[in-house]
Amino acid sequence: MLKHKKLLSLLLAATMLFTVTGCGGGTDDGGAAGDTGESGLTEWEETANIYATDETDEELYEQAIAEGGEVTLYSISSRCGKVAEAFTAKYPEIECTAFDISTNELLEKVTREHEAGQYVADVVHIKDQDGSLYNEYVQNKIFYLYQPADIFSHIDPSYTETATPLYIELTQLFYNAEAYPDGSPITNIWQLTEPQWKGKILMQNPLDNLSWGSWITGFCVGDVPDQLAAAYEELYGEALVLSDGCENAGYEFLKRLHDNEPIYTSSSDEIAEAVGTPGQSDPPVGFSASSKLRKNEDNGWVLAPVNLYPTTGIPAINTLYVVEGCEHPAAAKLLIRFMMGGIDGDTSGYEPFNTLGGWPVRDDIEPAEGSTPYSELNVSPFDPDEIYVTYNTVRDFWQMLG
Amino acid sequence: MKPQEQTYSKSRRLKNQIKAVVTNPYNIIVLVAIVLLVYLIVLPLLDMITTTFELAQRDLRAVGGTMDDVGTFTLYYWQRLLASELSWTMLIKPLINSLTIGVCVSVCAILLGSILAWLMVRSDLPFKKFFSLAVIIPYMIPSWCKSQAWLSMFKTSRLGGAPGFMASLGLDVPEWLAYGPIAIIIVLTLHYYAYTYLLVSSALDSINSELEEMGEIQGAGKAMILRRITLPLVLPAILSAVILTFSKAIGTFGTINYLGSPVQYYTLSSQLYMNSKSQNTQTAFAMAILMIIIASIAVFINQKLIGSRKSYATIGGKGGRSTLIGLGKVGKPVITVVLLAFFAVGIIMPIVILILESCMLKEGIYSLENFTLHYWIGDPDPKIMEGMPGIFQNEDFINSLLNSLRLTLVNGVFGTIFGQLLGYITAKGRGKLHGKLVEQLVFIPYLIPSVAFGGIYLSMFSKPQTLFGVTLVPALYGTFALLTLVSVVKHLPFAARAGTSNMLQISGELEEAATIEGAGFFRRFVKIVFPLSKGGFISGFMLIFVSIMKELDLIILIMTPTTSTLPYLAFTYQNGNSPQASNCVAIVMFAIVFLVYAIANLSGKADLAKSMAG
Repeated sequence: MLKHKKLLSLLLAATMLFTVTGCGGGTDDGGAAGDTGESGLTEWEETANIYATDETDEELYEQAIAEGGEVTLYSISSRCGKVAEAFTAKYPEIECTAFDISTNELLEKVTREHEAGQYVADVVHIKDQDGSLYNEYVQNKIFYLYQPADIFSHIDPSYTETATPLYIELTQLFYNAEAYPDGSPITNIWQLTEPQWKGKILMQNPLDNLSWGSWITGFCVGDVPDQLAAAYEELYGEALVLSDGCENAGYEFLKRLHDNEPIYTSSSDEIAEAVGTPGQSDPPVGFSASSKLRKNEDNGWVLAPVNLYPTTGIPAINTLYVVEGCEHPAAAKLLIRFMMGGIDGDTSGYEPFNTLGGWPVRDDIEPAEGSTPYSELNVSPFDPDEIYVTYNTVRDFWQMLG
Repeated sequence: MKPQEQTYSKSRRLKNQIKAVVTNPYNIIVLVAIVLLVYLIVLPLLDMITTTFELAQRDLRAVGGTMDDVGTFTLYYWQRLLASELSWTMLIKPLINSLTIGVCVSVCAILLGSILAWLMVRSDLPFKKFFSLAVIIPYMIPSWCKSQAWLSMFKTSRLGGAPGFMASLGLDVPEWLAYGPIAIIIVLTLHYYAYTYLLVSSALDSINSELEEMGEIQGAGKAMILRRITLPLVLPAILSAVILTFSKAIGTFGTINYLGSPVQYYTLSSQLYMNSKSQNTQTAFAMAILMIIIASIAVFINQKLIGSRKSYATIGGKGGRSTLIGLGKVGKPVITVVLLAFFAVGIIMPIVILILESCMLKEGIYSLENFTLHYWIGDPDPKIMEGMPGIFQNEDFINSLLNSLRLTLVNGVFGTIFGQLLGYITAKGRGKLHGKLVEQLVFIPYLIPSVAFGGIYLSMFSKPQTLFGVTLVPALYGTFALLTLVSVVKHLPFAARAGTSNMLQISGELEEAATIEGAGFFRRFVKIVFPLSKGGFISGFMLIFVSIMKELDLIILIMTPTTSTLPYLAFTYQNGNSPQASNCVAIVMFAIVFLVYAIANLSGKADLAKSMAG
């Protein structure tokens, strides 16, 4: 009996060995950028003509039809379905498929597909909140920025250095306008750290996802800590004293915010509902994605945004990329142009995104009716490199707080 | 002379031994199963393990170094997790919480599930048909639904928004009840008792009541019979349920996120998902590996417990008879009323709320003017849902419905067959190396996070798999085959667990008798093992069917943009501010699962009874 077992295990081991060596070949480097030719461009870069930015809509449309008349968009926005419909309505020869998927899955899927040489997505719509898309995807030539000059002449160059921006969202503080008819009970950001707001601030856990992690990082970099320190002094008339382990006023603010026991919810929607539901006697305040404001009317909420002093934090900029190796580069370019609002006055590709709580990056597109002009908002400048470098430190800092 | 003779006999023995091993179909099946499991489970796991030792580009900023260091060996992730100043908040505290939740939920769910199973199968409870259908419904409702129901019941002013039901009645709900561990344990128990119920009731079903009657003749009381006869006989099923429940409870995320975050209560699984969502893949994988180790220990203990017993076979050569046990004059009505109340609150209410919400033009306003069937059957209206028609007029919905049906039915059937085969191996190989190995292997996919598992499969099967230049598996990207493969493997633990506890009950004598009569392996399996284990087949099928129906994370990476399924559709509606339409889809999903279960339950029961009578 023992012999049987030994024999069996030997057989097993041998078979396993074969299996393992067999698929070893299957997992080595995937369809990364190929060899560069004489021009210094990869084969795909050349055939896709990815660096050309002067093609017109008509030229791209013709090329796109020649490519096969298809284009696939991976997007973090549920509104991508409307974009696809509008695109196919304008360019009937091209079938546009939109796939609504959340950030983490989108990156996982597109990276894996790219590595395996399965080029499904042509265009990716996502947010580069911590600078990782630029540093890890654009720099490594997995994603390409397409920045046509005619459209980009309408965009502030500070947005276009590391990304092709689509529109801007914010993480804003909201209050209940019914309970506070005279305006926001909080104007200076440090008021959030006062005892009367203990356990009455709703937000999402910064450890929970990239956007909130990047948002708290924004308070600790650049000029923001100095602005925070000055705002503290303005409010209380005395200088801010930093606690142990707090490098600057940004960390100090995060520590005090955390000490005030913010309540975490699992989505921005929940926060908007919790703060905005009318009929509450002592409603909380809460940080939420600014785009939730568009649901105010539909849901009968009384949500009102606060323009926090000195800053409401860094913006979340929605960005567009062309995926390396994709089979429909011309259609991808055409779709990006379309989504950014085009140049012929037909902005039907941008319309789905032009709502309350979202601000266009183009100076020739008006924000949705009733929007506060972006220039009047206290928004910190977004430097993807700085956020990228500091992100881990701040995330660990928050984790340490408990 | 002597040594020569020995060599001769040795070589001959070896020859015979090889012949015996190679010609026995059982061994071949074991071999194939182990090779496949290694390929489909161990390789992905190895991939995960190596990932935790490779430096990612995104962590260069923390560790320093240049692009050349990306992918090199590092202990950074493990050191950070196990031995840094972050360990307490990132690992130890969440781990303690995980174990607390896991143990408490297991205990409660096993108790509840076993009691219900005993009542349904062995007692003379009235309305059994209704009860046995209703008892499984909680498992079919997604756990986030139940978490939301819990919150709308017990929500305190801490969370803002509309007051909870209790609070609106003026009742002060203490926060320890509304959020945190107690709430989580209750909600998860109501979700997971179904494992115990399904496994234990099919085990009880197969017990010959003569065994219990013998005890009675010998003068044993009811408690004594339960403790000394019934319980030991269903112990394998209970232990299987313990493992499923425990691992699922430490692995779940949704409920903990809903009910734990308001009071900052985290478990290892919520830390894992947070890291995964923040692209900290390596840390997330390391946590998953720790969870796999914990679960493996549980499986190991289980093996020890079962291994020390001789046999559990309850399906023997003799005919079975089932006599119901009376609950008593007082007991019967009391238990009936308690059960009815339990079902009304725990089952009917969440469904009614769900249906109501799908018919509200605007969320949360419960009035007659606000009542609409638009989300079900409405024509497109630009003012509602951005101009999308009701789901039954929506092409996307019909497509998703067909995809989901295809996926769940095909996977349910394949998964169950493989599960029972693996269960057969585990049961027959109990106490032997290969049995233990299969049991452990099968369990691993359970605790690999879905997104990671889907991602690894995407990479593995996007290219043809070759062995010495021969293509074994063609590139499967975008095919239905890959969806099936990944779903079947990921859900094997359910099916195999159901198979194991099922097969453990079938006495080896039956097969031995058939062998003597000259029946081959396959004939024995088809003619004896399969018919006897039909009840377990159905339990296994239901477990796998229900969970694949609800699966999103796993297949979203594998599916192509055009092959959406119902959970994906529900997800997009929820995302797109159309919770009503999302509820409609959830109701359809529930209705399908319920229908299939009702059919399986009714027809399965009938068949089982027949085979017992024969």
